[in-house]
Amino acid sequence: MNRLVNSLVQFALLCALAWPVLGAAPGHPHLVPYQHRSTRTGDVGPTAARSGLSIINDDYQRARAEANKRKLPLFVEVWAPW
Amino acid sequence: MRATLASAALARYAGRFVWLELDFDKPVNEAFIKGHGVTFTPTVLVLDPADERATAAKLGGLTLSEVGQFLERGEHGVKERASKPADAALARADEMMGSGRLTDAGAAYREALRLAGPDWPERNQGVASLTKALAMTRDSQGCAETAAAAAVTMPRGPAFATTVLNGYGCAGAGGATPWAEAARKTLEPLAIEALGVSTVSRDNHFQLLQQLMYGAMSRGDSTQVSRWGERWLSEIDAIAPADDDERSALDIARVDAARLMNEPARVIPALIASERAMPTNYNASMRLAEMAAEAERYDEALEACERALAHVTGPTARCWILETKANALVGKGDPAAARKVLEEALESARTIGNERTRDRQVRQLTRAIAETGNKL
Repeated sequence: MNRLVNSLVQFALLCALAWPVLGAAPGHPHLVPYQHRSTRTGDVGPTAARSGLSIINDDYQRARAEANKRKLPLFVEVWAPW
Repeated sequence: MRATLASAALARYAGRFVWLELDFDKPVNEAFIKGHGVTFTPTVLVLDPADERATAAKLGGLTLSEVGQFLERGEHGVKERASKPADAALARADEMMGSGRLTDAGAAYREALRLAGPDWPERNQGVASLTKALAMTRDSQGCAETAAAAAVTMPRGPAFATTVLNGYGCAGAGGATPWAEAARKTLEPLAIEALGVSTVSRDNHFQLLQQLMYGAMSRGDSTQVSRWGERWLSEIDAIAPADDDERSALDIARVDAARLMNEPARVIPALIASERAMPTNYNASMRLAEMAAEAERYDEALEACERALAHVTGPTARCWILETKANALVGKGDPAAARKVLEEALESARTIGNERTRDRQVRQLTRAIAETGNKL
């Protein structure tokens, strides 16, 4: 059977030589190492404490215009939902 | 990163930046993603809005302490150009990293490190960024050897862990070549040491565990694979997620650990619990479908795929869900139905905004359709 989910685990076991290369583009969760997923993990403790950041979602032109108007640097995080 | 940005410790930066989050899988963001050469998530940038120049760039997550330094550097770069040679080279490197010119960025990081004195405050982060640039450009040998040479004497903190992680992963990609074996010999003990560094981000900590599992697998050491996997799953289970983002991220790690241990059924109860906790989150259903399919529980997989498809938000994830569905159909002995689902996935793949992801997905699905057709 041709398993479409042909995991790198099986590949590594067969080859017993190399393991996945770091630094690929975001890709299928079966075919890329952990590094390439969203890293929206809570690695700094509880999120109840709020920073008060007002975050714009998915509107670069609006954010850039606002940054230019207020003469502020623009912080951008490109993330993946998977 | 979202949890990091929610920290009260960042409140002092709130009015000093405009804050933007872009979903990689939304076509509306494609112009930015293409224009800045983004091929990695998360990618974090500070931009000068006047000319869109990146004044700080990081591929990968940041700990809270790293975010502060990152923001300060980015803000400073908008206000004034660096005057010292090493700082200017670092600024060029970050600018290139922020525009997707990764080979040039690697050269500029090297130049910055060459120009800087041994006490340069940006040295450790510069080494970490250099190894990331080398990893991203597939210079595995350069990455592994740079990391092995630098990490031994680096202070044990986040930059050390990032450097070791990048280098050890690149050494793994080198297989049985002499340079790769030499680098692994140096870096594997450092990777184990990095697991004990409390300031390392959870993401890097998990990735270190994953790379150590790959390392053990490449040696055929199934006992050690199991030990690292048990530790990883135990750590995941000990964390109470604060929100849905964190729950999803933990599920991703859970699936990775179970997959490397070849024990997909083991995490299914936790994934069912996550799906119940997040009934409209496609990630939860998608992870459950993947593990159910790998555990050959095909009917459960197909049902979870339908739930995931009902809530999916982007074409890339939709492709993956459909691939899992096709896989389950093949497992049930219905390649004709699987082929139809793959054709549907191919249609979805053609609408992916990011060119590299789209091309890879289309190639992969085209091949899968042909192979599935051979089974008819």
